[in-house]
Amino acid sequence: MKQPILDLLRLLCLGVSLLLAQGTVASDHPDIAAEARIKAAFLFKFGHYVEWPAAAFTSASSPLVIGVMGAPAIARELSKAVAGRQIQQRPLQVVNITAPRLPANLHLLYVAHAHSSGTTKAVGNPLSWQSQLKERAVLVITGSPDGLESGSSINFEIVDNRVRFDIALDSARAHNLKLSSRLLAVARRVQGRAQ
Amino acid sequence: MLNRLKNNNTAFKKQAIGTLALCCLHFGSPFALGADAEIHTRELLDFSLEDLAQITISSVAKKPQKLSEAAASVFVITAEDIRRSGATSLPEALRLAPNLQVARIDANSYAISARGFNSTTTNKLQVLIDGRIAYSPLYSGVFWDVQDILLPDVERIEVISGSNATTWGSNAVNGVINVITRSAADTQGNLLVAGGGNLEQQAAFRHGGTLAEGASYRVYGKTLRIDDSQLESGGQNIDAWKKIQLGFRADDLSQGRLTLQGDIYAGRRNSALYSGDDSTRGLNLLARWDQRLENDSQLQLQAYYDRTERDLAGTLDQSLNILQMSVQQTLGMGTGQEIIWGIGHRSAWDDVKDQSAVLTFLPAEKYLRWNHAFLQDEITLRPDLKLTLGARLEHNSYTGLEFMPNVRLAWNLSPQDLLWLSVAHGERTPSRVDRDFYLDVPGIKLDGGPDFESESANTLEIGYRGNRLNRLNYSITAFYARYDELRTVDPTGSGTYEIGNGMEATTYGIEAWADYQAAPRWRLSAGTLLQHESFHFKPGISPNPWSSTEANNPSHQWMLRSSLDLSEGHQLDMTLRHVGKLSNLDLPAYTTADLRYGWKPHSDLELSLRALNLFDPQHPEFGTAASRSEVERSLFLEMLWRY
Repeated sequence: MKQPILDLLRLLCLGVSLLLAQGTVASDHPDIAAEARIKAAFLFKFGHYVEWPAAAFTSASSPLVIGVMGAPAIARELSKAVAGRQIQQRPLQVVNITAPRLPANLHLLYVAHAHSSGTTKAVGNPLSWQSQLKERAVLVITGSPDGLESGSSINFEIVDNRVRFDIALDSARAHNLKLSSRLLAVARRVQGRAQ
Repeated sequence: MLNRLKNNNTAFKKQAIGTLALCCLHFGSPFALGADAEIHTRELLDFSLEDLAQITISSVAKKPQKLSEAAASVFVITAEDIRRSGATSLPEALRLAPNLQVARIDANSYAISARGFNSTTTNKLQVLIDGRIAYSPLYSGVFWDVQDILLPDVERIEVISGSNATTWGSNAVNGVINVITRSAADTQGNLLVAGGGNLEQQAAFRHGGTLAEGASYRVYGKTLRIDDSQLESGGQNIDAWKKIQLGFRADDLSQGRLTLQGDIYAGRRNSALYSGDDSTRGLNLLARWDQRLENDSQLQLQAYYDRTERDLAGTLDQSLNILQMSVQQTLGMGTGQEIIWGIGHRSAWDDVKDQSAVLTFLPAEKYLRWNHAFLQDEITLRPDLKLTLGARLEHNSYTGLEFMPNVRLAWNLSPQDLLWLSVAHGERTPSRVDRDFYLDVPGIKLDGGPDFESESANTLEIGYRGNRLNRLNYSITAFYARYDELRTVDPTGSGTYEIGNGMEATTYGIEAWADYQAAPRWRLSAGTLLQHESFHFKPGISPNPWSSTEANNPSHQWMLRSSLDLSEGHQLDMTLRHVGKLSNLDLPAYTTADLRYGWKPHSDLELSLRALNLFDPQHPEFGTAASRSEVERSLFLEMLWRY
């Protein structure tokens, strides 16, 4: 009885925060909208400093796919902004992910709400992003206080009114990704060691 | 003769040591952010990782913090603006700033100024290209023909009108133009640009790669050719020119941020007055190191060498070497205060050879030095109120020590509204043409002023900037300035003249601009400048035809731009621009309409067709009726390919 209530509460929280995030773009809440815009720009930038294994792409010209989960405002903003842009000479595709099943073709995933408390459970849940992306060459970026613990490689933090990010090298390595030292240089904190 | 010198853009202008860029972390970026009314996500994509990590969320949304640093009339020309304008040169890109007056003189020279005082030898504007001062101590002005960059590699151009000498140095009396190119890490891969039209042809190539972990580089080459312009009086001017430029930039981010960059160029131009061509050559090399220290403190060291050679056939052959070094530190005091201090030194030694009998610089070789120290304290009086106190001491070889203070106040009426006020004192220190210039033609003998002093300005500005619904941004600035010791050509006897400080002036006016995202695919921008100026000769100075060369300004100018994304990959941009008449030059007002159509058949390939001056076949923008060139209607087709 207890578990369904907790899940319900969690869903409710998610719903409210989604509403808030959407509302801010439409209405005049520049703060949150600005944060979303900066994060969107970071997602685009990150793509430049990650080395994916060749097998991550079906062909030399196939697009780089950025998935956004739980932040439709960022997905919308990003897909609008990257029109005509490229990363590593590849066209871009931004996908707003609403279903638990992740697309087969995915290179960068932003998870707005990830909590380490759910991680243990997530590992056993075949529909969690952690299980679906296990060992897949996908750079997972989160935006929660304990995002790195949930298994992501990069986590956004708001520090002193700025959007900063931390990096977990072990996680990136587990996903067969190489992060450039430039990215590490800008990070606020880097966990783990470079290979 | 004097005219020839000016037409060649050889004579007077200038700027000084600029460093406000440095006061912000990476070359002025937070400043630009605060200044720009709204930062679109698309523009954010062009910021470097470092810059993104430094932007305060509030500044992007038009909120306090860094916005208060922009208690000035700042217009930011973005990379996207430049691309969509179709501009093919730096001066043409500067037409995008409503707070600048840009007039094309002929095929290779421009008159560019802010707040009036425009001339072929504008001398109260500071211009920096990636931290390198672009003005020549020969006349305190910019030879625009040799200040070239690869436009697709520009990150943004910040244009600040008004007196900003405290932070930017003694020449920033009427404004500052700060050109910032992208980090090498942001210009990876190959880029090929080629374009041609009825008046000019250009081709450029850039290659960007990585050197080692955290270090990247780019190299580029560029060549251009511009045809002879047409004279208003009929016939063809002889001013066609061509230029080739090579350059590089490397950024190493492993230890702070180390930047090395340089350019080398050579240009040749037909000479209208003499047989033989004029030629220009130059090279520059700059190193800069930014390091973030503990406690929110930031240190920047910079040094550069800049050599320019300008051989004006039959007139003079100047070679000039400049060496500059500066240190700047930003200190977060943690008590609502941020202190920025800086010191710098610049040396210039030149040699003017092959001088004609009529026009000479004496001594032919000159060694000039400038030293400066400045201190600025930004005090947060209340969360919504910031006071910035700044002072600069600058020593120059001609007039010794000059003092340039500045007080700025920024008040955020609401998160979307900023009201600001600035009181500043700036000095335009003498250049060689003011002191060491001698002209001797039948009937006229002009001597440089042995006692020529710095021209000075006291400026009061009030500005308001706002943002509505994240779609409408606007800025309005009212200014009032009093100038003293302005340069004049004073009669000292029959047919003899000496350069002096015989004039005063008062100017006031309004600069305003706005942009509106009318629809997701449609952006509208508008800008206007209204100004009034009055010049007064000091007692005992009698006016003569040469005495007021700076009163060549329109009382008004305006522009309207529309940027429309027609459909995926298709863009249509329109610009309507009007400049009022220049009474002293008897130059009529003109309105031009420019059109650009851009097509991206493939994400790596962009084709664009630009038509300039649709309304009239040709119009003059500057100069006297007898000798001025006209800007003709033109078409330009360009291909940009990234691979």
